[in-house]
Amino acid sequence: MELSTISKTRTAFNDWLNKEAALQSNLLFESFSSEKVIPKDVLPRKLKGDAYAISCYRDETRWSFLDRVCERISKEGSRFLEDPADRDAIEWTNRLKAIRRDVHKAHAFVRFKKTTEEGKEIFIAWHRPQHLTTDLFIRLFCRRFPTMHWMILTADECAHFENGKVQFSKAYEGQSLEIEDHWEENWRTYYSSIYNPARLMVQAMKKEMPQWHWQTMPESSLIPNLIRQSQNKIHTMAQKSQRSASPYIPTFCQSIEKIQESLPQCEGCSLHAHCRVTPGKGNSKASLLFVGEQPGDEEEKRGEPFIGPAGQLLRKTWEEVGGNWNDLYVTNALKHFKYELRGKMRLHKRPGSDEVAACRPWLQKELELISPKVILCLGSTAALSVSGRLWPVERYRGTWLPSAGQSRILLTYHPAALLRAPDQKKQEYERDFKNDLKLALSVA
Amino acid sequence: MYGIKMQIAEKLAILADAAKYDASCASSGSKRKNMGGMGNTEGMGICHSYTPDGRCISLLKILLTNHCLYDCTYCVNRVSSDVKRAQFTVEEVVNLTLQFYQRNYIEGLFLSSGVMGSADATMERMVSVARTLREKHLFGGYIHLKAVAGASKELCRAAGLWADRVSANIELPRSEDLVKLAPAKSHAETELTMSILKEGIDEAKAEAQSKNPSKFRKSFAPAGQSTQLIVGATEASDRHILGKAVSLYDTYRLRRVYYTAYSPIPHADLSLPPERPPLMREHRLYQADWLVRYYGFQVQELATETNPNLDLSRDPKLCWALQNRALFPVDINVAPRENLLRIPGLGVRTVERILKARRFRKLTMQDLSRMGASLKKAKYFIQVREDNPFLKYVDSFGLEAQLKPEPVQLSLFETGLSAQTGEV
Repeated sequence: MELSTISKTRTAFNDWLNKEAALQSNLLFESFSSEKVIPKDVLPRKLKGDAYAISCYRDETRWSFLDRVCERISKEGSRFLEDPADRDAIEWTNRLKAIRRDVHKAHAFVRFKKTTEEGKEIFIAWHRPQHLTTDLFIRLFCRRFPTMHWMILTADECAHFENGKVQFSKAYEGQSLEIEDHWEENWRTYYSSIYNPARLMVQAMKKEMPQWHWQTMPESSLIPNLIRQSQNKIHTMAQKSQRSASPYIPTFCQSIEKIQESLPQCEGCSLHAHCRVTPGKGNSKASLLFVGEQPGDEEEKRGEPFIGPAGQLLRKTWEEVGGNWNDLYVTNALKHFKYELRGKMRLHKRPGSDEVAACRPWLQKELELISPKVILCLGSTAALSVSGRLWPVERYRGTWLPSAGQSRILLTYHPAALLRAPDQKKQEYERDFKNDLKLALSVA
Repeated sequence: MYGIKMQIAEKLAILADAAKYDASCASSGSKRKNMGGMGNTEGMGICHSYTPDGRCISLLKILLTNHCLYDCTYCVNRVSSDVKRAQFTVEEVVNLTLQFYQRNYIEGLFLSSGVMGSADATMERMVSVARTLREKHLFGGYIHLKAVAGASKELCRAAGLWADRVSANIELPRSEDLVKLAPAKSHAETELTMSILKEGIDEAKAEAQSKNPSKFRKSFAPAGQSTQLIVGATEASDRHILGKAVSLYDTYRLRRVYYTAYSPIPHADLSLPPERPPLMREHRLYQADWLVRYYGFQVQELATETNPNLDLSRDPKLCWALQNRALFPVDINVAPRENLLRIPGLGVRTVERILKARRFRKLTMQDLSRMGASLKKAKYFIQVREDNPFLKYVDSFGLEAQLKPEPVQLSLFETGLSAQTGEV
């Protein structure tokens, strides 16, 4: 492989500069025509860098445009380039902008693949610049990755970087780069996880990341699928939030019995497919109403709320503070049991707020029909369904939550939380729980 | 979890997904030379990729963990949410960053985290990621650390030493909203963090500008600090939101305030709106923010007491001009800079070009159009060299009809760009 220390575009520019110098010397210094005059007085030094950049514009007119500008500079000075309304100045700026954009996009879209060559680690990228900008954009990579051995292949020329030195070789003619790098898979995982399907703006993406470059970027193969999925994801999210038990509540539902009759037909959320319904139970004229989270394993089997271990604890404590279970109406925020199968065990699983929202109309109907003096929410899910808001239990237990209706709302622990409490906290929890029950009883 | 060790890819999927609600991804405003290891930062940010939502990927934006003690209702990672949880180790984040960086996928790392254990314990792990990258791997890329609400002063200062940017999210524009939706957070606490960061930034700046700056001085968050405001989760008006933003800009010299439209999250609190606010609102806020910072507008002029919300169908500058027609037409060829900036359809860059170009000639409509002005709006408000037939509308009722509102649906697709650059 033939390597050169100077890039193709730089060589071409130097040739043009020298040609210009020769030309100038012929025009202005006829008697010294054998001498080469560096045209620094024609092309001011601060413009030389820009002129080189413009000579990298992939267009047949690039040299004639530079010639024209130089001619004008020799006649009227370079000030016209500062006039934002001058045609040549606009062309100059536009070409410069196109080059800068191309360089910037190369900085962004070059993708290295890591591989080993003769036992040495090497990073190879294939990039398709729009203009002849290889010599321009590789400079950032020289500064950024000075200790790496890397190569960037383009259809114009290839750049090799090793030991702090860059060299150029002839064009890469391949149409792909067959190197396996398993980190590309992680990158694709990241790419598809970081984007937000709730907002789709394909035009904006294409504008900033032209499809021209997709061929050399590992993540681009994901795009069509992500766009397609995004429509579905939004759809299911909307569907989920639309789920509700409302259509299953009879139009004239004036008694608790009617609720209990209609509940088994409810398909307001997906839980109905996995278990039977557990309706609320108790005195329909109760002045005190307990709301739990959802039926548990045992409750579901026997179709009655609060008979499992947590329920027994609640009953026991309630009787200890002097309450009568038969005066109560007890129910749950969810009427179905949400669980996870672990072997043969059905493990309680916390309901999502979409399920709470879906089941909420049943509870609201119960509250409306019974209209108790006090609603005791056992745990945050109950409070969420009763009041529509999340109330952190640690902070708000034992306090009256704001209520929109006639009933007063009190929040306390769910008895299951007491069963699960760490030993050092157990006594404190039990004391608080008892106090809350006492408070509810005294007010009701 | 449950005894099975999670693969990196699985963690990455969970913890990138959890981080996507943070809008910020900027990697600009900091300069760092290569320190003999890998990477440098050159002041201009680079967007390495774009996703179909129109947003750019500049940084590896992940959470250290999405386990969280707090129960902020609008947040998908709140303790009461049943999302899948995962946790990276410090080494895993460091390795991911380096592997992605050397393949030129990213400009650096944006690390945030749920609060696990305590605020300080979390912050300490985040700082240790940044320190390992800088000290052990001589990493010169960009690092943005999120300051955990309630982290100690020492840790915030340590974060500033290693990171290019540190940010504390104010989240909601009114403190009463925070009480309701994020009981564990408060404006006072966040602003305390901001003032600690400002102190560090100011000290480093003073040192750099002093007569003989120490050769071994340490930089402190050279890209400054930023914050994020969630829009549309509560009733707060645009006037509130912009007012809060401006007070933060003034008090803590923030580089950016990010406005992010509330995204309905799975398993949300019932008190939150079920639908996202129109994306256009986010876009209008960015426009107004820009007008206040670079065009000399006051918040009160754009979001008035009677109209506290920005018009979604027209850009805020045009709305203002329609309300203040007595100030027009403005003569392009003589008006001072601050008046030119108030003409609808002219951006800062066009105004700079006008100021330069009019030294050479008297400008015409055609000149303006070549220089990047949007004449569709500007032509009704300006005097140029030739007669301008559109000026007759300035004092007529017909002007509003002439400037028909853009169809909101269509322009939704264009908002992505503006949200990133904020440009009008």
